[in-house]
Amino acid sequence: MAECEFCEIRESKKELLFSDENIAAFLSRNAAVPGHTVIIPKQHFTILEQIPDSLVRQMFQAANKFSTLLFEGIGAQGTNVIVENGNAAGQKTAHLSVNVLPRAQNDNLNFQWQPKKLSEAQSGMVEVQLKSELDRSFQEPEVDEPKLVEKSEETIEHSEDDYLMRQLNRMP
Amino acid sequence: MEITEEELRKMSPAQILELQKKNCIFCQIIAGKVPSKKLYESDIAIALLDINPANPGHAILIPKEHFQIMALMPEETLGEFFVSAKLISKAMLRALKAEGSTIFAANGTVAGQRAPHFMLHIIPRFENDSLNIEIPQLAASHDSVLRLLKAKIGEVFGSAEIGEAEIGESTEIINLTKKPEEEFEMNRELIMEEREEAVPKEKKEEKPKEIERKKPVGNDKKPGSGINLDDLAEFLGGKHG
Repeated sequence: MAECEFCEIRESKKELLFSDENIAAFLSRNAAVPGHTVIIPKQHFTILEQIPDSLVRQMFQAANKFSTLLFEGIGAQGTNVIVENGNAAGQKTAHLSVNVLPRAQNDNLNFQWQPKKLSEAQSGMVEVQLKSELDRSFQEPEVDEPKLVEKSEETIEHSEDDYLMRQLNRMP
Repeated sequence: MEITEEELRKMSPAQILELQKKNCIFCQIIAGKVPSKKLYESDIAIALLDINPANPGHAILIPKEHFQIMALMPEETLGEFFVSAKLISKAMLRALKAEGSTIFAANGTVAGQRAPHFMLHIIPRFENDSLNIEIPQLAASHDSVLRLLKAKIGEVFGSAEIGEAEIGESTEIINLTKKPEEEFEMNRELIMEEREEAVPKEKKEEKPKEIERKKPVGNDKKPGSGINLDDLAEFLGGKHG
Protein backbone atom coordinates (compact mmCIF):
# COMPACT_ATOMS: atom_id res chain seq x y z
CA MET A 1 0.00 0.00 0.00
CA ALA A 2 1.27 3.43 -0.84
CA GLU A 3 1.94 5.52 2.21
CA CYS A 4 -1.26 7.09 3.40
CA GLU A 5 -1.40 10.32 5.36
CA PHE A 6 -4.40 9.16 7.39
CA CYS A 7 -2.84 5.78 8.18
CA GLU A 8 0.23 7.65 9.42
CA ILE A 9 -1.90 9.85 11.66
CA ARG A 10 -3.67 6.78 12.97
CA GLU A 11 -0.42 4.99 13.69
CA SER A 12 1.45 7.87 15.29
CA LYS A 13 -1.55 8.56 17.59
CA LYS A 14 -0.16 11.98 18.46
CA GLU A 15 -2.90 13.88 16.73
CA LEU A 16 -5.82 11.66 17.62
CA LEU A 17 -8.74 13.18 19.45
CA PHE A 18 -10.44 9.85 19.77
CA SER A 19 -9.97 6.25 18.84
CA ASP A 20 -11.58 2.92 19.50
CA GLU A 21 -11.23 -0.52 17.97
CA ASN A 22 -12.34 0.42 14.49
CA ILE A 23 -12.31 4.18 14.05
CA ALA A 24 -10.12 7.17 14.79
CA ALA A 25 -10.74 10.91 14.76
CA PHE A 26 -8.44 13.91 14.58
CA LEU A 27 -8.48 17.59 13.72
CA SER A 28 -7.87 18.21 10.04
CA ARG A 29 -4.32 19.22 9.10
CA ASN A 30 -5.76 21.32 6.36
CA ALA A 31 -8.91 22.53 8.05
CA ALA A 32 -11.57 24.71 6.49
CA VAL A 33 -12.36 26.12 9.95
CA PRO A 34 -10.98 25.64 13.46
CA GLY A 35 -12.49 22.45 14.88
CA HIS A 36 -12.84 20.74 11.47
CA THR A 37 -12.79 17.08 12.53
CA VAL A 38 -11.95 14.05 10.42
CA ILE A 39 -13.27 10.59 11.25
CA ILE A 40 -11.64 7.60 9.58
CA PRO A 41 -11.97 3.85 9.68
CA LYS A 42 -8.72 2.50 11.14
CA GLN A 43 -8.48 0.02 8.32
CA HIS A 44 -7.53 1.60 5.02
CA PHE A 45 -10.62 1.83 2.83
CA THR A 46 -10.57 4.12 -0.15
CA ILE A 47 -14.24 4.64 -0.91
CA LEU A 48 -17.46 4.39 1.07
CA GLU A 49 -18.77 1.47 -0.96
CA GLN A 50 -15.96 -0.75 0.36
CA ILE A 51 -16.76 -0.19 4.01
CA PRO A 52 -18.82 -2.85 5.81
CA ASP A 53 -22.20 -1.68 7.09
CA SER A 54 -21.31 -2.12 10.75
CA LEU A 55 -18.34 0.17 10.32
CA VAL A 56 -20.41 2.70 8.38
CA ARG A 57 -22.76 2.83 11.38
CA GLN A 58 -19.90 3.39 13.80
CA MET A 59 -18.31 6.12 11.70
CA PHE A 60 -21.46 8.17 11.41
CA GLN A 61 -22.46 7.62 15.01
CA ALA A 62 -19.07 9.05 15.92
CA ALA A 63 -19.58 11.90 13.44
CA ASN A 64 -22.86 12.69 15.16
CA LYS A 65 -21.12 12.80 18.53
CA PHE A 66 -18.48 15.12 17.15
CA SER A 67 -21.24 17.32 15.79
CA THR A 68 -22.70 17.49 19.30
CA LEU A 69 -19.24 18.12 20.71
CA LEU A 70 -18.77 21.07 18.36
CA PHE A 71 -22.14 22.54 19.37
CA GLU A 72 -21.60 22.09 23.06
CA GLY A 73 -17.84 22.36 23.34
CA ILE A 74 -16.97 25.30 21.10
CA GLY A 75 -20.37 26.91 20.62
CA ALA A 76 -20.86 26.10 16.95
CA GLN A 77 -24.09 27.57 15.54
CA GLY A 78 -24.40 24.75 13.06
CA THR A 79 -22.47 21.81 11.67
CA ASN A 80 -21.93 20.17 8.32
CA VAL A 81 -21.24 16.47 7.90
CA ILE A 82 -19.54 15.89 4.55
CA VAL A 83 -18.10 12.87 2.78
CA GLU A 84 -16.11 13.43 -0.38
CA ASN A 85 -16.34 9.99 -1.91
CA GLY A 86 -14.04 9.66 -4.89
CA ASN A 87 -11.69 12.02 -6.72
CA ALA A 88 -14.57 13.50 -8.67
CA ALA A 89 -16.13 14.54 -5.35
CA GLY A 90 -12.93 16.28 -4.29
CA GLN A 91 -11.54 13.50 -2.12
CA LYS A 92 -7.94 14.49 -1.33
CA THR A 93 -6.68 11.45 0.56
CA ALA A 94 -7.38 7.96 -0.69
CA HIS A 95 -8.59 6.90 2.75
CA LEU A 96 -12.29 7.48 3.16
CA SER A 97 -13.13 10.05 5.82
CA VAL A 98 -16.17 11.77 7.29
CA ASN A 99 -15.68 15.48 7.84
CA VAL A 100 -17.53 17.36 10.55
CA LEU A 101 -17.30 21.13 10.30
CA PRO A 102 -18.49 23.61 12.93
CA ARG A 103 -20.30 26.54 11.34
CA ALA A 104 -20.89 30.12 12.39
CA GLN A 105 -22.37 33.26 10.87
CA ASN A 106 -20.03 34.86 8.35
CA ASP A 107 -17.47 32.07 8.46
CA ASN A 108 -16.90 32.47 4.72
CA LEU A 109 -17.77 28.88 3.94
CA ASN A 110 -20.37 28.18 1.31
CA PHE A 111 -21.51 24.76 0.23
CA GLN A 112 -24.49 25.90 -1.82
CA TRP A 113 -24.80 24.46 -5.26
CA GLN A 114 -26.46 25.88 -8.35
CA PRO A 115 -29.49 23.71 -9.15
CA LYS A 116 -29.64 22.23 -12.62
CA LYS A 117 -32.81 22.36 -14.62
CA LEU A 118 -33.64 18.92 -15.96
CA SER A 119 -36.37 18.01 -18.39
CA GLU A 120 -39.11 15.62 -17.33
CA ALA A 121 -37.50 12.97 -19.50
CA GLN A 122 -34.09 13.46 -17.93
CA SER A 123 -35.29 13.26 -14.36
CA GLY A 124 -37.59 10.38 -15.29
CA MET A 125 -34.62 8.50 -16.66
CA VAL A 126 -32.39 8.93 -13.61
CA GLU A 127 -35.34 8.02 -11.42
CA VAL A 128 -35.88 4.73 -13.24
CA GLN A 129 -32.16 3.96 -13.30
CA LEU A 130 -31.67 4.59 -9.60
CA LYS A 131 -34.88 2.92 -8.54
CA SER A 132 -34.21 -0.31 -10.36
CA GLU A 133 -30.65 -0.44 -9.09
CA LEU A 134 -31.82 0.22 -5.53
CA ASP A 135 -34.59 -2.38 -5.75
CA ARG A 136 -31.95 -4.86 -6.77
CA SER A 137 -29.40 -3.99 -4.10
CA PHE A 138 -31.93 -3.97 -1.27
CA GLN A 139 -32.99 -7.46 -2.20
CA GLU A 140 -29.41 -8.57 -1.71
CA PRO A 141 -28.41 -7.21 1.66
CA GLU A 142 -24.72 -7.08 2.40
CA VAL A 143 -23.32 -9.73 4.69
CA ASP A 144 -21.21 -7.94 7.22
CA GLU A 145 -17.66 -8.94 7.90
CA PRO A 146 -17.69 -9.95 11.56
CA LYS A 147 -14.06 -9.00 12.20
CA LEU A 148 -13.16 -5.55 11.01
CA VAL A 149 -9.59 -5.80 12.18
CA GLU A 150 -8.81 -8.44 9.63
CA LYS A 151 -8.55 -7.74 5.97
CA SER A 152 -12.04 -7.62 4.57
CA GLU A 153 -12.95 -9.45 1.44
CA GLU A 154 -14.64 -7.72 -1.40
CA THR A 155 -18.33 -8.44 -1.50
CA ILE A 156 -19.29 -9.22 -5.01
CA GLU A 157 -22.84 -9.24 -6.17
CA HIS A 158 -23.84 -11.71 -8.79
CA SER A 159 -27.24 -11.43 -10.34
CA GLU A 160 -26.82 -8.79 -12.99
CA ASP A 161 -28.43 -10.60 -15.86
CA ASP A 162 -31.99 -9.34 -15.77
CA TYR A 163 -31.02 -5.79 -15.05
CA LEU A 164 -31.87 -4.43 -18.46
CA MET A 165 -35.09 -6.35 -18.74
CA ARG A 166 -36.29 -5.08 -15.43
CA GLN A 167 -35.43 -1.56 -16.30
CA LEU A 168 -37.40 -1.87 -19.51
CA ASN A 169 -40.39 -3.25 -17.63
CA ARG A 170 -40.35 -0.25 -15.39
CA MET A 171 -40.64 2.22 -18.18
CA PRO A 172 -43.95 4.02 -17.96
CA MET B 1 -54.94 27.54 10.49
CA GLU B 2 -53.55 30.76 11.90
CA ILE B 3 -51.77 30.66 15.23
CA THR B 4 -50.89 33.80 17.12
CA GLU B 5 -47.61 34.28 18.93
CA GLU B 6 -49.60 34.45 22.13
CA GLU B 7 -50.99 30.97 21.53
CA LEU B 8 -47.57 29.68 20.51
CA ARG B 9 -46.05 30.85 23.78
CA LYS B 10 -48.65 28.95 25.77
CA MET B 11 -47.98 25.68 23.97
CA SER B 12 -45.91 22.93 25.51
CA PRO B 13 -42.78 21.75 23.65
CA ALA B 14 -44.67 18.58 22.74
CA GLN B 15 -47.51 20.62 21.26
CA ILE B 16 -45.10 22.77 19.31
CA LEU B 17 -43.39 19.69 17.88
CA GLU B 18 -46.80 18.35 16.90
CA LEU B 19 -47.55 21.59 15.11
CA GLN B 20 -44.22 21.52 13.30
CA LYS B 21 -44.87 18.01 12.10
CA LYS B 22 -48.26 19.02 10.80
CA ASN B 23 -46.73 21.88 8.83
CA CYS B 24 -43.68 19.97 7.62
CA ILE B 25 -43.66 19.36 3.89
CA PHE B 26 -41.37 16.35 4.28
CA CYS B 27 -43.67 14.75 6.84
CA GLN B 28 -46.47 15.22 4.31
CA ILE B 29 -44.38 13.62 1.58
CA ILE B 30 -43.62 10.67 3.88
CA ALA B 31 -47.34 10.35 4.66
CA GLY B 32 -48.03 10.27 0.93
CA LYS B 33 -50.06 13.49 1.03
CA VAL B 34 -47.66 15.30 -1.28
CA PRO B 35 -46.37 13.64 -4.47
CA SER B 36 -42.63 13.05 -4.86
CA LYS B 37 -40.18 11.00 -6.87
CA LYS B 38 -39.49 8.28 -4.39
CA LEU B 39 -36.42 6.13 -5.03
CA TYR B 40 -36.42 3.94 -2.00
CA GLU B 41 -38.12 3.35 1.30
CA SER B 42 -37.00 1.51 4.45
CA ASP B 43 -38.55 1.25 7.90
CA ILE B 44 -36.87 4.43 9.00
CA ALA B 45 -36.21 6.53 5.91
CA ILE B 46 -37.19 7.40 2.37
CA ALA B 47 -35.03 8.62 -0.49
CA LEU B 48 -36.33 11.06 -3.10
CA LEU B 49 -34.95 12.84 -6.09
CA ASP B 50 -34.15 16.41 -5.08
CA ILE B 51 -36.34 18.85 -6.99
CA ASN B 52 -33.41 21.28 -7.26
CA PRO B 53 -30.66 18.84 -8.19
CA ALA B 54 -27.00 19.82 -8.17
CA ASN B 55 -26.48 16.99 -10.68
CA PRO B 56 -28.89 14.58 -12.36
CA GLY B 57 -29.73 11.86 -9.83
CA HIS B 58 -29.16 14.05 -6.75
CA ALA B 59 -31.07 12.28 -3.98
CA ILE B 60 -32.18 13.29 -0.53
CA LEU B 61 -32.51 10.75 2.24
CA ILE B 62 -35.05 11.70 4.90
CA PRO B 63 -35.78 10.02 8.22
CA LYS B 64 -39.47 9.13 8.47
CA GLU B 65 -39.67 10.55 11.93
CA HIS B 66 -39.53 14.31 12.23
CA PHE B 67 -36.05 15.07 13.58
CA GLN B 68 -34.99 18.67 13.18
CA ILE B 69 -31.28 17.98 13.35
CA MET B 70 -29.10 14.91 13.16
CA ALA B 71 -28.28 14.99 16.86
CA LEU B 72 -31.91 14.24 17.73
CA MET B 73 -31.88 10.92 15.89
CA PRO B 74 -31.47 7.86 18.11
CA GLU B 75 -28.13 6.20 17.57
CA GLU B 76 -29.50 3.03 16.04
CA THR B 77 -31.70 4.93 13.58
CA LEU B 78 -28.75 7.09 12.64
CA GLY B 79 -26.63 4.04 11.91
CA GLU B 80 -29.27 2.50 9.64
CA PHE B 81 -29.83 5.85 7.97
CA PHE B 82 -26.20 6.09 6.86
CA VAL B 83 -26.09 2.46 5.75
CA SER B 84 -28.92 3.40 3.37
CA ALA B 85 -26.85 6.38 2.26
CA LYS B 86 -23.99 4.06 1.34
CA LEU B 87 -26.28 1.88 -0.76
CA ILE B 88 -27.72 4.89 -2.54
CA SER B 89 -24.23 6.13 -3.31
CA LYS B 90 -23.35 2.69 -4.63
CA ALA B 91 -26.44 2.71 -6.83
CA MET B 92 -25.31 6.04 -8.27
CA LEU B 93 -21.90 4.66 -9.21
CA ARG B 94 -23.52 1.69 -10.86
CA ALA B 95 -26.70 2.95 -12.44
CA LEU B 96 -25.64 6.50 -13.32
CA LYS B 97 -21.97 5.76 -13.88
CA ALA B 98 -21.13 8.43 -11.37
CA GLU B 99 -17.42 8.85 -10.69
CA GLY B 100 -17.97 9.58 -7.01
CA SER B 101 -20.50 11.02 -4.64
CA THR B 102 -20.78 13.90 -2.24
CA ILE B 103 -22.67 13.13 0.94
CA PHE B 104 -23.74 16.28 2.68
CA ALA B 105 -25.76 17.16 5.77
CA ALA B 106 -26.44 20.55 7.31
CA ASN B 107 -27.44 21.10 10.90
CA GLY B 108 -28.65 24.64 11.48
CA THR B 109 -29.44 27.50 9.12
CA VAL B 110 -25.86 28.83 9.23
CA ALA B 111 -24.77 25.45 7.86
CA GLY B 112 -27.23 25.75 4.99
CA GLN B 113 -30.20 23.85 6.43
CA ARG B 114 -33.39 25.05 4.75
CA ALA B 115 -36.12 22.82 6.13
CA PRO B 116 -36.82 21.91 9.75
CA HIS B 117 -36.68 18.19 8.90
CA PHE B 118 -33.19 16.71 8.89
CA MET B 119 -32.06 15.27 5.56
CA LEU B 120 -28.98 13.96 3.85
CA HIS B 121 -27.98 14.98 0.34
CA ILE B 122 -26.37 12.31 -1.80
CA ILE B 123 -25.05 13.88 -4.98
CA PRO B 124 -23.60 11.82 -7.82
CA ARG B 125 -20.36 13.42 -8.98
CA PHE B 126 -18.60 13.52 -12.32
CA GLU B 127 -15.14 14.80 -13.23
CA ASN B 128 -15.35 18.48 -14.10
CA ASP B 129 -18.98 18.91 -13.09
CA SER B 130 -18.04 22.29 -11.63
CA LEU B 131 -20.22 22.04 -8.56
CA ASN B 132 -17.64 23.71 -6.34
CA ILE B 133 -18.87 22.16 -3.13
CA GLU B 134 -15.54 20.73 -2.08
CA ILE B 135 -14.31 21.51 1.42
CA PRO B 136 -11.77 24.33 1.12
CA GLN B 137 -8.28 23.48 2.36
CA LEU B 138 -7.27 26.48 4.41
CA ALA B 139 -4.99 25.02 7.09
CA ALA B 140 -6.99 26.82 9.75
CA SER B 141 -5.35 26.68 13.17
CA HIS B 142 -7.10 24.63 15.84
CA ASP B 143 -5.36 26.40 18.71
CA SER B 144 -8.49 28.28 19.71
CA VAL B 145 -10.64 25.17 20.03
CA LEU B 146 -8.48 22.20 20.98
CA ARG B 147 -8.56 22.91 24.70
CA LEU B 148 -12.35 23.31 24.65
CA LEU B 149 -12.85 20.13 22.66
CA LYS B 150 -10.63 18.09 24.93
CA ALA B 151 -12.42 19.41 27.98
CA LYS B 152 -15.75 18.15 26.70
CA ILE B 153 -14.88 15.07 24.69
CA GLY B 154 -14.96 12.63 27.60
CA GLU B 155 -18.48 13.74 28.41
CA VAL B 156 -19.71 13.23 24.84
CA PHE B 157 -17.97 9.93 24.17
CA GLY B 158 -18.34 8.37 27.60
CA SER B 159 -15.93 5.59 28.33
CA ALA B 160 -14.33 5.35 24.88
CA GLU B 161 -10.64 5.83 24.43
CA ILE B 162 -9.75 9.47 24.13
CA GLY B 163 -6.83 10.32 21.92
CA GLU B 164 -3.51 11.93 22.66
CA ALA B 165 -3.82 15.14 20.68
CA GLU B 166 -1.95 17.90 22.45
CA ILE B 167 -2.32 21.59 22.21
CA GLY B 168 0.01 22.99 19.62
CA GLU B 169 0.67 19.63 18.03
CA SER B 170 -2.07 19.92 15.47
CA THR B 171 -0.62 23.07 13.96
CA GLU B 172 2.29 21.09 12.59
CA ILE B 173 1.81 21.13 8.84
CA ILE B 174 3.17 18.24 6.87
CA ASN B 175 3.82 18.57 3.18
CA LEU B 176 0.23 18.99 2.10
CA THR B 177 0.93 19.51 -1.54
CA LYS B 178 2.07 15.91 -1.90
CA LYS B 179 -0.44 13.88 -3.83
CA PRO B 180 0.34 10.19 -3.91
CA GLU B 181 -0.53 9.37 -7.48
CA GLU B 182 -0.82 5.67 -6.80
CA GLU B 183 -3.52 6.25 -4.25
CA PHE B 184 -5.47 8.37 -6.67
CA GLU B 185 -5.19 5.68 -9.25
CA MET B 186 -6.42 3.12 -6.76
CA ASN B 187 -9.39 5.30 -5.93
CA ARG B 188 -10.24 5.65 -9.60
CA GLU B 189 -10.01 1.91 -10.16
CA LEU B 190 -12.33 1.18 -7.26
CA ILE B 191 -14.90 3.62 -8.55
CA MET B 192 -14.67 2.02 -11.98
CA GLU B 193 -15.12 -1.41 -10.42
CA GLU B 194 -18.24 -0.31 -8.59
CA ARG B 195 -19.59 1.32 -11.69
CA GLU B 196 -18.99 -1.58 -13.99
CA GLU B 197 -19.98 -4.40 -11.73
CA ALA B 198 -23.70 -4.08 -12.29
CA VAL B 199 -24.15 -1.88 -15.30
CA PRO B 200 -24.77 -3.54 -18.63
CA LYS B 201 -22.02 -2.68 -21.06
CA GLU B 202 -24.01 -1.31 -23.92
CA LYS B 203 -26.17 1.11 -22.04
CA LYS B 204 -25.98 4.48 -23.72
CA GLU B 205 -24.86 7.35 -21.64
CA GLU B 206 -27.12 10.22 -20.80
CA LYS B 207 -25.75 13.66 -21.38
CA PRO B 208 -28.37 15.96 -20.02
CA LYS B 209 -28.28 19.52 -21.14
CA GLU B 210 -27.57 21.71 -18.20
CA ILE B 211 -29.36 24.93 -17.72
CA GLU B 212 -28.39 26.66 -14.57
CA ARG B 213 -30.77 28.57 -12.45
CA LYS B 214 -30.19 30.62 -9.35
CA LYS B 215 -31.32 29.01 -6.16
CA PRO B 216 -33.18 31.25 -3.76
CA VAL B 217 -30.89 32.33 -0.99
CA GLY B 218 -31.85 30.99 2.42
CA ASN B 219 -32.94 33.63 4.84
CA ASP B 220 -30.38 33.99 7.52
CA LYS B 221 -31.41 34.48 11.04
CA LYS B 222 -29.10 34.96 13.94
CA PRO B 223 -29.39 32.10 16.37
CA GLY B 224 -29.26 32.71 20.07
CA SER B 225 -26.08 32.10 21.95
CA GLY B 226 -27.62 29.02 23.59
CA ILE B 227 -25.98 25.81 22.51
CA ASN B 228 -28.39 23.41 24.10
CA LEU B 229 -29.52 21.01 21.38
CA ASP B 230 -33.16 21.18 22.34
CA ASP B 231 -33.05 24.95 22.15
CA LEU B 232 -31.38 24.73 18.79
CA ALA B 233 -33.96 22.30 17.54
CA GLU B 234 -36.73 24.54 18.79
CA PHE B 235 -35.13 27.48 17.08
CA LEU B 236 -34.84 25.59 13.82
CA GLY B 237 -38.35 24.32 13.96
CA GLY B 238 -39.86 27.54 15.25
CA LYS B 239 -38.37 29.46 12.39
CA HIS B 240 -40.03 27.35 9.75
CA GLY B 241 -42.99 25.96 11.61
